[in-house]
Amino acid sequence: MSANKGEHRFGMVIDLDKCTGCGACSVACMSENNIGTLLDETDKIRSITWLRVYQIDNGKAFPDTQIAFIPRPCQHCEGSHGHHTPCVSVCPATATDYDETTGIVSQIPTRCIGCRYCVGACPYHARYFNWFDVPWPKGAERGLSPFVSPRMRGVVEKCTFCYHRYQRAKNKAFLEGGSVGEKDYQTACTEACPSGAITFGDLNNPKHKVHELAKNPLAFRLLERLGTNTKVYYVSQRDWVQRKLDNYLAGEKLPVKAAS
Amino acid sequence: MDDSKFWPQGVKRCKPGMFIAWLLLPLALGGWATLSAFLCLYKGLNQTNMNDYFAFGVWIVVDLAIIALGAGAFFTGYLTYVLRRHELKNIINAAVIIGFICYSGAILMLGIDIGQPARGWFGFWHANVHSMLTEVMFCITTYAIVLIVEFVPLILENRQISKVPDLAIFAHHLHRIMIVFAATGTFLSFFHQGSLGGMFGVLYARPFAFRTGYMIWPWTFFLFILSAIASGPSFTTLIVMWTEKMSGRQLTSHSVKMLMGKISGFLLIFYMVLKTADTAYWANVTLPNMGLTMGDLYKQGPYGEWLLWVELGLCGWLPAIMLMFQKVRETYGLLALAMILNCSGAVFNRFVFTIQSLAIPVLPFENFASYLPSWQEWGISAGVIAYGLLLFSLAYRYLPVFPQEAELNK
Amino acid sequence: MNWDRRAFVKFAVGAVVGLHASPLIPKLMDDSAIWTQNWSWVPNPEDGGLAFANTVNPATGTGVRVRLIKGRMMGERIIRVEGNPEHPLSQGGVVPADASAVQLLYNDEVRVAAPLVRDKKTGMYREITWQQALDMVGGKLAELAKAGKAHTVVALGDEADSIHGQILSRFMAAYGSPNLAFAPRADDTLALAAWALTGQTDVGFDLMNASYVVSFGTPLLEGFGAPVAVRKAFVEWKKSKGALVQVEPRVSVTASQAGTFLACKPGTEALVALGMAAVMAEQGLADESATSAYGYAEFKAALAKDYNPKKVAELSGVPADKIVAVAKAFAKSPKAVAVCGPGPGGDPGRLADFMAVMALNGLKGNLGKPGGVAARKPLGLKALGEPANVDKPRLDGGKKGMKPANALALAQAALAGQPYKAGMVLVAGGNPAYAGPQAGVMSEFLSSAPFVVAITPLLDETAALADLVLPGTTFLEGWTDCRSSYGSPVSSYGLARPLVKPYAQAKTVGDALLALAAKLGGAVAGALPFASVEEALKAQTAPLGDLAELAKKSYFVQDKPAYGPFAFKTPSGKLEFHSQNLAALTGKNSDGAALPHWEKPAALAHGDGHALAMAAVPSLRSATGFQPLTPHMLKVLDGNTLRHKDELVVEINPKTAAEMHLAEDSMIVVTSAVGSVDARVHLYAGAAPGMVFMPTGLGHGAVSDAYTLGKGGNFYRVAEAAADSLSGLPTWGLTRVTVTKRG
Ligand SMILES: Nc1nc2c(c(=O)[nH]1)N[C@H]1C(S)=C(S)[C@@H](COP(=O)(O)OP(=O)(O)OC[C@H]3O[C@@H](n4cnc5c(=O)[nH]c(N)nc54)[C@H](O)[C@@H]3O)O[C@H]1N2
Ligand SMILES: Nc1nc2c(c(=O)[nH]1)N[C@H]1C(S)=C(S)[C@@H](COP(=O)(O)OP(=O)(O)OC[C@H]3O[C@@H](n4cnc5c(=O)[nH]c(N)nc54)[C@H](O)[C@@H]3O)O[C@H]1N2
Ligand code: SF4
Ligand code: SF4
Ligand code: SF4
Ligand code: SF4
Ligand code: SF4
Ligand SMILES: [Mo]
Repeated sequence: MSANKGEHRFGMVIDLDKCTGCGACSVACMSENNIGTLLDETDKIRSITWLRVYQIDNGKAFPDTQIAFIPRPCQHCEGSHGHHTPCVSVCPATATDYDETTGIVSQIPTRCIGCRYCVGACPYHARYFNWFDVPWPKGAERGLSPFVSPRMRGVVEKCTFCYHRYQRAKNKAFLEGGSVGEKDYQTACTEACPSGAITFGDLNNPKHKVHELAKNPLAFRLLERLGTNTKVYYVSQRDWVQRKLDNYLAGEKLPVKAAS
Repeated sequence: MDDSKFWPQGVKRCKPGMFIAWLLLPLALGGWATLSAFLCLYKGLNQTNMNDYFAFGVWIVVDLAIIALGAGAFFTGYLTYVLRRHELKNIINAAVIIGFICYSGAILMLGIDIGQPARGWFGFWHANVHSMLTEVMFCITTYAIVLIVEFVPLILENRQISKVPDLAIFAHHLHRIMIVFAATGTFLSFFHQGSLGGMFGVLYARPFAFRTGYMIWPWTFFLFILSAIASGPSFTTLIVMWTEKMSGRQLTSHSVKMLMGKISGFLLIFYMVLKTADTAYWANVTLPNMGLTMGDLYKQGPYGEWLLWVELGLCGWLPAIMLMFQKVRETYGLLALAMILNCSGAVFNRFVFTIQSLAIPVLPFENFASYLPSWQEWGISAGVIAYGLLLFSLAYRYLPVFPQEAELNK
Repeated sequence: MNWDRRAFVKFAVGAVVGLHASPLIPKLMDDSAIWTQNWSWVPNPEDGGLAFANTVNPATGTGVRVRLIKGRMMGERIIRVEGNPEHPLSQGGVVPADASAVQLLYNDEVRVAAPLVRDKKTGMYREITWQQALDMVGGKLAELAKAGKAHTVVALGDEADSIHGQILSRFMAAYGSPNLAFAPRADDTLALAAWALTGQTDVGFDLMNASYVVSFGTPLLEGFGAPVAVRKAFVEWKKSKGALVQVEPRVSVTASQAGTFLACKPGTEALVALGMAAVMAEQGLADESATSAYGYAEFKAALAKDYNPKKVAELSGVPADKIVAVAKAFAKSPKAVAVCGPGPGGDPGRLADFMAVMALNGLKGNLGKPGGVAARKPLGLKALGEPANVDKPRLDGGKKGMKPANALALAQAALAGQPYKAGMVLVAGGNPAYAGPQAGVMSEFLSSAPFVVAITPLLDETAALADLVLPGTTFLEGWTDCRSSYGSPVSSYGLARPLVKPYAQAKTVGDALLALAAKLGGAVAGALPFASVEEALKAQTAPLGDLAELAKKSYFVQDKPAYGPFAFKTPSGKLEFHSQNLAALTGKNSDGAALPHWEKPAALAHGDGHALAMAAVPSLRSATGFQPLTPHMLKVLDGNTLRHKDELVVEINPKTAAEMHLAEDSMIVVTSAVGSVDARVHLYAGAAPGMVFMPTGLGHGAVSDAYTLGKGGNFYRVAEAAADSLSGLPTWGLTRVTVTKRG
């Protein structure tokens, strides 16, 4: 269903049966992308966490209860015709864009006017508005990365698939000749996961692991029925987990996918 | 202190002391608004209770509502200047002023509502042609300029100002080309009213707001236009009626009000038929395709199905039918009631699309988050109302808004 | 001017054209675009050359890689701690504590910059120089020694095996005090349990190669051992379709990931192990290495009598048929292992429980086999030497040579003045005022002690009670090391070197002690003939090669567990179900006291009306023990844990809550015999009925950073620590609590 014109379609496959909800991916993302901490982080609906790890349960009573974790970066939605991303199509200032050559949904905080229309448009709560200026503690600037500009208040930010890492890898490939390999461009969250639950790569490239993984009959996407055409796939053997990640009418069966 | 020489020719106004006492209300509200605005601009939008789930709050509701209700200006202008319904000349000035108030108020609010007001113009500079909001920004700003152009001649008609020959001539020329502006205004307004509706209808990943449509326009595009032109004339008339009650003077003949009611009524019937069809299609086709039923969307938080019945029944079909009856239109109170219901319906509709759309979690495992505006948000909302009261009071006192007033109060 | 139509149009057009021709609009737009991006208070991180360096995080055992930026203005700085893909155990993965470690390095608001003297009355700090600080401590120590009170000096350390721990041990022994305790660890309990049954002390579980794992209440996926390595093993082992059975009272992450979850009553995990053992013995499923072991018949009889599935089912709540089924599967699986470990709140566990689990492994006959229990090969490090013996009674009554000391018992004895009061306290790492054992008692002890010195990198709860605070380092700025992590089947050694200049005047614990030893001279200086920690490390790691080389690599890991016949070091030279080692230590040889057995936890025996049992919620997102909670870890605590501004949220089963007329968000007080804390209720279906589950790592006060300050309540203030009847170590796995409504 891809309408990408470019050669790459970067995406992720997250194995929910391996994820133990440790949060390392989320913290690694924060350190990679200079995400600050607010004085009151109990206020989860104003707190910035590009990759949020949700906890869900099967709704059963003790001891039949089961829990699972859903790591949720930006899903890098493609929509129905290449760039018809829920958030990109609504931004009045082109502060977020669909990169046709990579499939990455970018975010340019310095161009964002802070209208928050995109925040409302994203069904995954992947977009975060800077309600506050980050209260960096004294001395914290020494620990900040120069590769991603810290944001000011009043703008929206989100997961960029660590786009700066792609730029770096591309520059390196350009200087050294050759192309960006699977190992050259990996996101910070993928690297950090101690369970190896996250796999990242080019969905279009048969040599990349995600290419096959995404075709797993057990792979599905979050709220797939909305037509967001995301590039983050989830895998789980557990029926109840699959069922919790999309809407189904009473009596509707899970879509059975042909094994590849 | 005597300001009577500034009053329009041949009418009476209350004593300056009383007028000033009345102005204390909007001024007080204005003070509250100024403080709120200062805090929001200086400290940022953390002064509001909006959050990443309620990305839009009461300000956007008020914005959409006043822009809908302000539609009386362009639609009455269209009927008066383009379709040449001459009776409406008796109310067009009021409609223009109300329109001006609504649009300039909305722009002021939006300036505070965006996180980076100093970048507000990026929407023009880095315009994204796919965005309904870009369309809204372009049309609202240009239409606000049109409204200024329509408003200026009226100001220049003030008894003292019009004594300056150059200004009088300027006003005269402006008047002569008003049809151009009325037509432009109509075109622009149709588009931004539609785009405002489109803003929500295109949110295809928000099942509560999403609507299918015609070409690139979701049905809400057309429905917002219709509900705006159905409620706008009612709102204009209601403001005139309220001014009549406040001043104790009749300002337009009842036939003008009845005509406005009739226009409102017919448009409202038309709107309700389409809106009802749209809702039915959405509930029975659009939602099930996404794996949802309408009931799924009305079970969280305080937003039950009753809201739908209030919007469509009490504030939709009821006033629409009422306004169809000559008897209702003839009765001052009933006419006012029907118009109030009509306007409330439009406000309800804007509220539902803004707040309820965002309140309903889309992720199946997300929980409902609640939102109540902060005092700063109320302050700025009240400020827009205060701004309207102030401007309209001054206009009524010093400008020849109502051509029939002198005649009717002889 | 005459305003005709033409003039009017000309004016309008002229105005518009004029405005656009002037530079005004582009200039204003450009300025405003720039201005909106340059807010003086938004940090602008300096760019510079990028470099990588390997090191190890001793707190988590993770092999990490650090990203450094060398800029012209700010010099060399660490911007990131990420996984080291080459590290054989962690393979590039990290846990939140690793990934956010930079936040503890660079926060001037909570780092101790220089030695600080605290005025006990006002609580105000005054900066002094290191020289003055050393004079002050050296003077006190000399004074006490002169008065014959050297033995009254109490020292608390964090890790006994680390280079700093060894320096501290030698320092204390040479100075003449036996009162040294380290943070209680499950490693000690496991070592004792293994020693009791096999005579070996250094063992681990070969999870990676096991095909059937039964975990008795251990948070395998939530902070067990070296958390990253364990999870790498878990995933590998899952790939080969290994089965996991989790025995515990809460639907934890591990329980949810397990194929089989045996929900037991609190504190009965090891009872289930004995139930399984009974099934194996009775049905002839025990390995022949076990049936020929010392005391097998006695053990078999005891199992049949006290731990038959019916009896165990009654006490533990796990249905007998499930116990039988799991026991059979365990016995029949080619590579099965039973795992015990630290409790969810980081407590060292009960020796009897660990023995029960080790006995189960003994019955399985998996000792020394792939996928079983491995005896770790010695690292081959050169020890700094046994510390001298001190001929004085230890405050906790501990016998000479019987390690380890119980920090809580030391504190309680010193508070009571039985047999004597503390003359001075030296806290060399850790944060006992916050994390205990039993934070209330430790705080009281520190507040009442005549002179408290704390070496710490952060202005923490312990620093707030100290008279003298000495600036310590984090693992990123000073030499430090760590040994094989809990439960690991292979020996490993991690070495951390200074990657950036230490913050302000910070020194490592070891360097501070060496400087102090030099000041004291005499026997103390003689026992520590090193100019620096680096030199001590050089001596210690000489057998592994060049220190600089090793430090650059940052780790030494044995490639595979030592499989092969198990070298039993018991009196009988065999596996012993009747432990003669234990009998000798405890002096109890009869009545099954030397057999693996189950004891009702002290917390459950409590008859004082406390109705519920409280346990900790294990999570890698929160900190256990005295590890500080970083701002980023706080951020990833889930919405149920951080639900209300500043309030602690505890989990209660919905049915239990309903019986107590509690609902979601009810405001409660959780009270134990030792303390109480305010909390809110979260109804969690996966919580065992009759229990309260509390997150750890919250409830920091006083001088913690602005983010964690006042968030939630401190588990360690409510948790009651009791000395284990066999090991003597404090344990706080379960606490009896009452829950009352508030507000
Ligand atoms: N605070 C701060 N301001 C600076 C500097 C600084 O170091 N700090 N440096 C100054 C200098 S030297 C420069 S060159 C400029 C550069 O500044 P910019 O280029 O404007 O911003 P950077 O953050 O440096 O570049 C990475 C940005 O790319 C965005 N991005 C991610 N993915 C995409 C994508 O797919 N498409 C697009 N278009 N953008 C994407 C990210 O949101 C991120 O903000 O900034 C200048 N201003
Ligand atoms: N949430 C969570 N909990 C865990 C773990 C986890 O990964 N996540 N890991 C578990 C494991 S495996 C362990 S071993 C435990 C134990 O972990 P700890 O025993 O707590 O490890 P430390 O190295 O003592 O913890 C870091 C502390 O060491 C001190 N420190 C820093 N540099 C130095 C130095 O040079 N010398 C000395 N002496 N001290 C220094 C500082 O006070 C710092 O607060 O934690 C366990 N708990
Ligand atoms: S997940 Fe949200 S933010 Fe990301 S591309 Fe999709 S709509 Fe945009
Ligand atoms: S908030 Fe920023 S990124 Fe989002 S739509 Fe508005 S301008 Fe675009
Ligand atoms: S891809 Fe990069 S930006 Fe996105 S969640 Fe992962 S670490 Fe964060
Ligand atoms: S790091 Fe891996 S295991 Fe941990 S929460 Fe993220 S995806 Fe799950
Ligand atoms: S306006 Fe919307 S639907 Fe049309 S092309 Fe753009 S994104 Fe696609
Ligand atoms: Mo640059």
